[in-house]
Amino acid sequence: MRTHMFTKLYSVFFLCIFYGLPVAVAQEEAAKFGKVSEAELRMKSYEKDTSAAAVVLSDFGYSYFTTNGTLKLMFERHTRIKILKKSGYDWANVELPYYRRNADKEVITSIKGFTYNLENGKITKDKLESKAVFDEKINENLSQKKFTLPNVKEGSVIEFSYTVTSDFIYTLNSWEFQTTIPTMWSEYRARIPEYFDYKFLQNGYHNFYTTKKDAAASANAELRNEAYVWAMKDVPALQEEKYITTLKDYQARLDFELQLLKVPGEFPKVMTGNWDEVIKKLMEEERFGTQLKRSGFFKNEIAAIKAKHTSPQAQVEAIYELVKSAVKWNGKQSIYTTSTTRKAFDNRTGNSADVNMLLTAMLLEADIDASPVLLSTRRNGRVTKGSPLITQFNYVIAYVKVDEKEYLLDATDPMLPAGMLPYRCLNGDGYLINRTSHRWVPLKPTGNYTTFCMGELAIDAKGEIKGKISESNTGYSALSLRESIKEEGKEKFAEKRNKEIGDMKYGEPTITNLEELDKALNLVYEITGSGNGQANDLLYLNPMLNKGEKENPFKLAERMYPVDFGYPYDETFMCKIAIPEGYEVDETPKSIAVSLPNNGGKFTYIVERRDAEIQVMSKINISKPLYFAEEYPYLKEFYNQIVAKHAEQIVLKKKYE
Amino acid sequence: MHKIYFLALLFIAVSGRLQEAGATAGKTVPEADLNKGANVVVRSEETYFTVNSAGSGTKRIKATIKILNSNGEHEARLYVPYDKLTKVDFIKGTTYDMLGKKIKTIKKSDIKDVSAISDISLFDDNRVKVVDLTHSAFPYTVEYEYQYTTSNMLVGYPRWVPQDQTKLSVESAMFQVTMPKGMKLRYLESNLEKKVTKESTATHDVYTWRVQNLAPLADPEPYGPSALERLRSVRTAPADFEVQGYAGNMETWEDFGHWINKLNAGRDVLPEATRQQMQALVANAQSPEEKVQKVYEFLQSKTRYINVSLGIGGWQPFEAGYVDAKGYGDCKGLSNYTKALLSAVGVESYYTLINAGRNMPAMIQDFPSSQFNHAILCVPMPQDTIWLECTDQTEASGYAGSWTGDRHALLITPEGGKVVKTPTYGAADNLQKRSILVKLDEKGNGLANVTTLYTGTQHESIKDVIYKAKPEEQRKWLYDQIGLPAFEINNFSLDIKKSKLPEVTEKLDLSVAKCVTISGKRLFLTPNLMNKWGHVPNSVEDRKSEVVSNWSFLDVDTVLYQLPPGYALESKPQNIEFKSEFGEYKAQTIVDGLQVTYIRTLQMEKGRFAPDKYPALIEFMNSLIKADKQQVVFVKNVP
Repeated sequence: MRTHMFTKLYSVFFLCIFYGLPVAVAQEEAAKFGKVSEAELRMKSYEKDTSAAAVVLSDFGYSYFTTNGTLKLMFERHTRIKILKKSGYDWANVELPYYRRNADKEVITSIKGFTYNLENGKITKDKLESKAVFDEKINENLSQKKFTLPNVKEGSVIEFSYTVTSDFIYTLNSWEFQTTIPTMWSEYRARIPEYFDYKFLQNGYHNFYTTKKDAAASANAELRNEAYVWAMKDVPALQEEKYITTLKDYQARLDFELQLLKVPGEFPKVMTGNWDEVIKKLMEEERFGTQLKRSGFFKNEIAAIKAKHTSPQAQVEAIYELVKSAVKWNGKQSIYTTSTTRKAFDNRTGNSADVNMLLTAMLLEADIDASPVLLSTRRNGRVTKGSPLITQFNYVIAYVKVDEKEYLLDATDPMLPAGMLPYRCLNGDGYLINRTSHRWVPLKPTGNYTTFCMGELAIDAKGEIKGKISESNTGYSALSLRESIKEEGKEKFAEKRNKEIGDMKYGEPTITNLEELDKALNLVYEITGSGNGQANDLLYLNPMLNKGEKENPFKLAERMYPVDFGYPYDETFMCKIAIPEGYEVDETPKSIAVSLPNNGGKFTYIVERRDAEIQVMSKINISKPLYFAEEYPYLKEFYNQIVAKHAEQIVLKKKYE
Repeated sequence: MHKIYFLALLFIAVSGRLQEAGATAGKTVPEADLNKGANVVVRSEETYFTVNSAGSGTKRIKATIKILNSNGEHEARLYVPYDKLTKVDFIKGTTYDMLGKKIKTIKKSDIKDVSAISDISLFDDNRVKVVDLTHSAFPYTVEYEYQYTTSNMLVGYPRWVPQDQTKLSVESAMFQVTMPKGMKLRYLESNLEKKVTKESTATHDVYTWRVQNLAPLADPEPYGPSALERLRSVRTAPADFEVQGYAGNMETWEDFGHWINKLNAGRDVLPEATRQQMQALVANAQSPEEKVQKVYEFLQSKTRYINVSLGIGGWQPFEAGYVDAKGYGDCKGLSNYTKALLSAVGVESYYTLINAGRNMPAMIQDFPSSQFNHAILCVPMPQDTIWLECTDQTEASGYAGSWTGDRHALLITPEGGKVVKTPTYGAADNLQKRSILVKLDEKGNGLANVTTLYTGTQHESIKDVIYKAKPEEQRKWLYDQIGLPAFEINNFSLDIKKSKLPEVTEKLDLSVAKCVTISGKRLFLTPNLMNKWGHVPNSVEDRKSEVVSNWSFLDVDTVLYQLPPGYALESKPQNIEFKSEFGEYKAQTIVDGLQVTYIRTLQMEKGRFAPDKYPALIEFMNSLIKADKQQVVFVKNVP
């Protein structure tokens, strides 16, 4: 039943933003510290997920502000977990990170913890000793408190509570209602002074059980508060799947973004406000907008390019190549430059903002219509479009418009041709910004993952095969292949491909167009297959030459989340087989065509006989980058058909005249 | 899951840059060739280790390293680990560009201090000082010098590996150990062209090793021996040593054991209640074996693995009383606790040090030194010895497996340390015995009933799934493991039988889509349904290193197919049988009307062979691939 519900809920993206909250009455409530019931201890399994190793019985968080001289953000947490199996023991190991930045810091106090067991019908209680709480300084800014609860066994109930006092009064941390074990009750309360105008962002596929908003009576007369309550009940465990962006995108969670600060006697201060304000601020930012104006250090290079290339199109490409070769991406992702683009240029290395802000600045210097585009990488998760949240972006690329044609450029990967985005950037929409306008732009793959493989071979009476295979790769296929060739070195790569596997021998490939990024990357190599050493009346041959799909990539019966490939696939295989003298075709596989619903994809398999030759063509086309969970069964069956067809063989028989 | 505790590796890393290392010690070459095939040239590196006393030593490293390209950048980052017993005295560093111009000299604020608590620990005191000397324009040169002083002389004596990775050449490297007069240095040289030179002053003995002009190491060869045994290295160890007031001698394993006894002394006291509980627990036990079994089960239900190691705590177990009160401990604490529990019921056992892990380098028996990362318990029995892994709540009593089996270990007895061998699991112990019945329909789809028995090392990964994964996850795991083109799992069950040689029985009820390929009038059947060999290593020209095969197992597959009516046999594979030093293979296909029986046996044997056997290994594996692909062909009966 649980799975059924999941399939339904996870099949659509559900993300809502809300200001006003409907009032509902809470029928459940968070656990009280120290009051563990015998029922909780007697519990043997969690009925909604009987196989769970542990279950969060209650998770309660409360944030509020205090003014003792200075304003502080307080956070109290109380968590109670039932340990059901040995594999759930790790839930008794707790890490509580806390930060400091310059003079501002978080302080964790009042850590309390207990383990409860039922022994001979009596509840026993083991206390977490304060000296068993360790303090680990991870680096200058980050530390954590670590502890483990004593005497944890199958059946134990553990609970812990703590308080965080924070100077970061503008940062209300996210509350996670869902984790990798099921949660029976998760409740977050916040008492937010009227000065703070927060936006609440709900993520995931699970609904609130309770939401409430009240004007709270405040102990402190100066501070008028709004009191909020959000609660979820029976939240299932979060589970990993293949072909997803990041698990974070599917987690039930509440995020907060401070919009407006309205301190009495002062003008309201926009904290993130509307896009106009946000963009204006960002464009004035030293490590963002300011960098677009810094052009002195590359004036000569741009002048040289303009002198050499007359068409703007050629100029864009030349500048793109210049940045790719001049600045190496250091693997770091950010929308802010490390320091200045000049420094990145001089040091020949920088983060994604250094590289692509420099690119944008150079394009602007060449009088080309260019703007930065903010985005969130696949690993960083989906973006929220409703409100101007800058913190959700972790990457910046460049947009250009030349002769009414629009391109997105990312100069972080030297193997990327102009106009193509790397896989990490293919994540919904990005936000284009410049001084005069801003808007969302789709981050679409411009190419497919395209392979074209052509084999020409001859088979003799002994079953020996000799032939040649030409593989042509374009789009994302060429990109990934170029990256692995570059990583391994061309020679090594070719050497490794020269290999004997079973009765097939593959020659060393000739690689062409490795550097010509706008051309297909080609691999040509010999192939030989050993026969059985004697003349045969019948010859069997699989025309896919080990290049077919051998296993269905979608094995599981059900799917919770959408299948997110990132880009479409286009894989063609063609093979010409010369029939040996004295033999004729007895049987060949039948031609078929299979389609996915709504033009989602197509598989074509065609066999043609021509005089002394058989020609086989297999074409797999996955035309969408994303398939919803409802479409999963079709996708699975689609691959079943491919795998079955690719296993079929050609039969040749000796002619008797 | 098993956990390990010692962190001695961290100290090895200090002595050099222990990364993936090459398979063969590099050649010595004329100076000019040092750049060839290198990312990094060690222009000069001097490692000084000065023993101040039995309980203190100072190590200083001074190096000039040229970074040729971005793949060598890691060598321009310095990681200096330390802990409660080790203090970093200073770190200096400077970067020069290709023209020799000074780019930067590190300041105190450039030295980052980060925590290095290992993944297996809840808390320990490992920290690292990190210095980044990288520059962006290649080539460039970094110069650094650092020094630390340690009071942990159990592991403080360095291992010197002047060339520890591929694509690194060494112009000159030197290792010097200075001992106070009267203190003995023990050392073990490996693969060195030039042995030690020893000089003496009035107060000290000085030992020096040097290497010069080493070309980059060759890439490691597939199925080669562990890199460590082929590298130039010098291991050092003390005779007399001291850690935190615990003095000992390491010249013999016996003495090493005495030192461990000193460390563990008095830490095995149990609360009286627990003693009595244990005695009650085994009151009805019929044999010592049963007592051990009961106590081990108690341990597994009461405790879990938590590692907290601070200072000497990295080597000294938690007291038994502490483990008893908290219900947790690390491998030392839990082994020591179990020893105490057994002692309470009159069963004697020995705390045992071992180097745990799959395919670990063998213990160097003739060089007593700290070579272990784990503690287990050895319980001698009248019949047979029982080995107990005390950090695992699910392990079968007495099973050592690929984690601690088939290797030497140090037994800590009241008479000191004794080297013993843990149980070896031969091919027949590591069994996968599978029988399948497949009923095929006229479309070629099959219903397969699969029963598989796994024992020994072959049961290990599935054992973890049984204990760690929920049924839903087990199903997912099975979908991942089963190498069939397209199938559904209708039903499955996994049962484990705990014993000295644990057994897992896996039952699968599968629907296999297109189990055989029917096209036109023919039916193609590849009778090896679920156990096709697919791996073959790359060929290597001019193989240099010995061939090491770690495979040791026996697979027996029996598959019975029932064909749909209307077919007659067209062709059938020959029976195949071959044998080499690597293993033995047999496959037989019997066709009886519409019934096909396939029987396959593959037995692989562990071993070490001469380099020229490598082509034979490739041939053996290719023969496996070929044989496993053979097919039976049927044609429709002409009506």
